[in-house]
Parts: sequence; C-alpha cells; structure tokens
Amino acid sequence: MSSRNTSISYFSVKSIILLCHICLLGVVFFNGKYENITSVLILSVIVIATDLGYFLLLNMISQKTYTLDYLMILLLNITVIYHSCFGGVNFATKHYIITIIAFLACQFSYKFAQNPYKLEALKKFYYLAMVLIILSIIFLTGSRGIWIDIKGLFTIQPSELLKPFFVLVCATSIYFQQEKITLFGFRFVPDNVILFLFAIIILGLQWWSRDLGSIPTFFTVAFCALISRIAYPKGKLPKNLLVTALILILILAFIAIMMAPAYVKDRLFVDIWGDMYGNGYQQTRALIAIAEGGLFGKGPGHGFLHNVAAYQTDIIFSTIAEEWGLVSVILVISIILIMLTTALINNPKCYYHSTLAAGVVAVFVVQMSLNIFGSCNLIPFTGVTIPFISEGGTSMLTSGILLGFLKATQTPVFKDKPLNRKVKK
Amino acid sequence: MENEYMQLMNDLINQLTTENGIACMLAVAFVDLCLLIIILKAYKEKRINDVRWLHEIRNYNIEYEENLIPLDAAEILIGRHFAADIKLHDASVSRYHAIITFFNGVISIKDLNSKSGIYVNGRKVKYEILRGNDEIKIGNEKLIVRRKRQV
Repeated sequence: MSSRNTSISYFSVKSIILLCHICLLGVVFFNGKYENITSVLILSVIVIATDLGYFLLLNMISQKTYTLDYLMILLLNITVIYHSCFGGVNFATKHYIITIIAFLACQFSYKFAQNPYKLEALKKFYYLAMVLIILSIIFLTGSRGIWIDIKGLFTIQPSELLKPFFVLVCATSIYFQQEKITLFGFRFVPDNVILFLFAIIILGLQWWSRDLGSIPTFFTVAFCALISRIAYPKGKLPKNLLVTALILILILAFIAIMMAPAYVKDRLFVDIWGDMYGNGYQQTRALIAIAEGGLFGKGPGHGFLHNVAAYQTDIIFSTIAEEWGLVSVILVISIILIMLTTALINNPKCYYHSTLAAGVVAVFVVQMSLNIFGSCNLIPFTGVTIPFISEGGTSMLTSGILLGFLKATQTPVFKDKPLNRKVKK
Repeated sequence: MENEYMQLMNDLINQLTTENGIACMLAVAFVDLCLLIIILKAYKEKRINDVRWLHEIRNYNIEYEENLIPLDAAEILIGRHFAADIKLHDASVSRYHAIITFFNGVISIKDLNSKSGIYVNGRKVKYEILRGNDEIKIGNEKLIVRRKRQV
C-alpha cells in the first residue's frame, strides 16, 4: 500500500460502481425472465465478487491515474450482466472469460507501452508482425473469409489483430519525421512511405478478402496518421490541406461505392421495408426492437431479437435497447466515449504517445459509429463490433490492448530501469 | 393532438412507477453519478500529476526574451515552424531546429540536423545535458535554462 502515491481517495467511486451493478441486478431480479432464482443469484455473486476482487487488485497497483480502470470495470461488468440476460437469465461464461482476457491484455499492453522511447525503438518489429499477420490472412483465411479455425476449438479473426499493430505503426515521433533519406533523387521520410505502403496493402487486402466492414476503420486510422504528420508537431493544421484531403476522400468513397461488388450495392440501395423477410430482415427487426424497447426496455430476457442472427455482435445496440431501454444503451455508449475523452483531460506528454492515443480513439469511434448507425439504418450493416460490448474474443482482445495503450499514454514513464535501481539504493 | 400528448405522458408515468421503472431509473442515475464522479476524479488526478511533473523535471523553465516557458511535456520542439513549442522568428533558425527532451530524470537538448547548429555555453554541440543557468544559442537567438518555481 505504501507504493500508492496518489492522495486521492477512490472510495466513493468504488461504492457507486458497486451500487450501479447492484441496481442493474435489481432490474434483472424484478423484471428479468428466469425460471430459477439461482441463475440470478449466481450472476449477482460473480459480478459483485469480480468488482470487489478488482478493487483489491487496484489497491495493490501503483498508477498515476485510475480513471480508465474504474471505467473499464464499470463497463465490462455491465456487459456481463447484459450478455447473461439475452433470452433468459443464464450466466454468460464465455463472455466472462473473454472479459478477463481483455483485462489481462489491457494490463499487459499498458506495461508494454508505458515507455514511449522503448516503444518507438521496437517499431521495426511492428512492421514484421504486420507482415506476418498479412501473410496469415492471405494464406490461411482465403479470399472470401476472415476467420482462421484452430482445430474447431476457437476461431481467430486476424484482421482484428492487425489493428493494434497498425495503430502502433501509425503513431510517429519528431525523430522519425526528421529522419530523411535520399533515394533516386527523391528525399523522403521512410516512416511515412512505409506507412503509406502498409495502408495501401491492408486496404487492398480487405477488398480482396471481402472484409469491407474493416475498411473504414483502417482508413480512418491512416487518415488520422496523415493529419498528425501534416499537422506535425503540434496539431495546428493548414486549412487548405485539410479541405483537399477531405475532397479526395469524398472522391475515393464515391469511386469505391461505384466499384463495389453486387452484394454491397444490394445492401446500400435496398428498400428494407419492402423486403422485410429477405435482405431487410435484420435491419427491420433491429429498428422495430429499438422502438419496442422504449425508454426503459421490455425487461431483461423478454426481448425478441435474440432469435435474429448476429444479435450479440452486429445488432447488439438494438438487442440491448430492446431489453434494457434506449436510456441505458446510450449511457453505456457514453461510458466508452468518456473513456476516450480521458486522453484529453490527462494529455500525453510526448509526440509518439499523443499520436498513438489519436489512433486508438479513431479505431474506437469509427467501430462504434459504424455499428450503431448500422443498427439504426442510417448506413448499411458492416459487421463491425462495438468495442467491449459485442461478443467476440478477438475483438475484445484487441479492444483491451488498445485501451492499454490509452492508459499508457496517461501514465508515461521516462526512465530506464538501471537508473531506477540507483535511486532505490 | 392534446389527447395524444396526455396519453404519451400517462404511458411514461406508468412505465416509471413500476418496480422495474424505479430500479431502471436508479441504475441510470447511479451510472450518471458514477461517470460524473470519475470525471471529477480525473481532473483531480490531472492537478496532482501536473504538480508531480513539475517536481519530476525539478522546476526547470526556459527563459526567452524575459518570458518563462514551462517544460510541460517531455518533448519541446524549438524552431521557426509556426507550430513549434518555442517559436523563434529569426531567419537563422531552422524550422525544426532542436528538441529539448526529458528522460531518465535528465533534461537534454538535441540538434535536429539544423543548418546553424546549437551552442550551449558557447560550445557547439549535437547533444548536451542541460543544467540551471545554461545559455543556449540558437542562430541569433538566446535561451536560458532557469530553475524557478512557477507562481
């Protein structure tokens, strides 16, 4: 306990997080659909025990900020409660295990990314890792799939694993930008050229493997990287460049839509209400579900949407809105948004970390908006998950890793280990 | 029109006054409160972290034309570029001239391949550890390292 060097008391936060979860469990108890009270009891005991265990664990870790940790436990236990209630109360063991893996991944990547200079020095290995993942996509998933099946035990989505590495590659520092080489009479920054090549390869690969849902995410991260390189070093942007870039993006998007394969065009221009049992089935059900849920929902387990395909991933927004109400789903989304805004409150101290944070925020915001707008029929379905809320092992793992990066940018370490030891003597 | 409005209000009130409605509202209120408190804590942490940062860099500042510029980040860019942290308007200064970094408890200055180079205490250097009252000459401009507590 002596290693904790913040003088802030977190007792109020802990007790209110516990109260939040108890209230949600109360909703399950009063209005949930369950045959046996023991299932609610099991859920309650596990959720509260996880809370208490995590608080104990946090007491033992010394950090400069704890904001993200508390937001994470608040969010993840809420999602465990949600996932346990779809179609009747039944503890979601799989989701719980994935949640714990996400916690561990978050802590691991936080420790890994704490020292920005060490992180920068390893940049060559991120290129290598990306090449390996790209090769695995080419040779293992095939041109029309995005999953790798490992002996039927579990499946991995390699394009999800590409995200943290891509964010690491997109981040840059003043040193990288000053390193210029001359080749064939051209003077260029190798960091930018490699990033550009990777972005082209990844976008081409997504197009080839028909993983079109991931294209906006990668594109936005690459665009963020471009802006952070134009606005280098301190975010002041020449306006004419920004306008040119935006116009270019619009033209590219137009070309992409014109050249899109037939099934994508179908989704873009389908009249969902005219084709309620065909192409528009999921979307109409999702919209009806949001409307039927109202403000406070039908009650946990009483929804209809768990009979529709992809209810835990693509249309999770509607599923939660139906069972728990629009208010609570908007609150859950706002928890993620507040997670991202903490980077603005405790701003990063160096350039590599700030560009890293920008990439992480871009991934989260784009994925969330694609999923939510898809559920609300503002854009066609993309099959992208909401970080931390949707079910899915790989997505949860990458979200945990990315959140760890965000945590690291707020608690940076500008020290090498040897000096630390000297100080301790 | 008015009837519809009344009907909607009645529905809402009926929804809210059930046990489920009360539990829902409590949950929503607690999540709201929790978010508010966490944001307040984040600001408190920021204040403490700022003080800790000043302590960590041992209250070093850079004095330029009698203004004290605090070292509020681990990387401070000096140059003629319009977005540099310490902006020097002299034509003898490169756009990305030098960078002041904080690492291992030491504040140092590094040359970013500038044309005119940097001079610390009259000596031309590529990399130098900075101490209190050191004089940095960049082009025709002069910066002084000061150890002073900000008021």
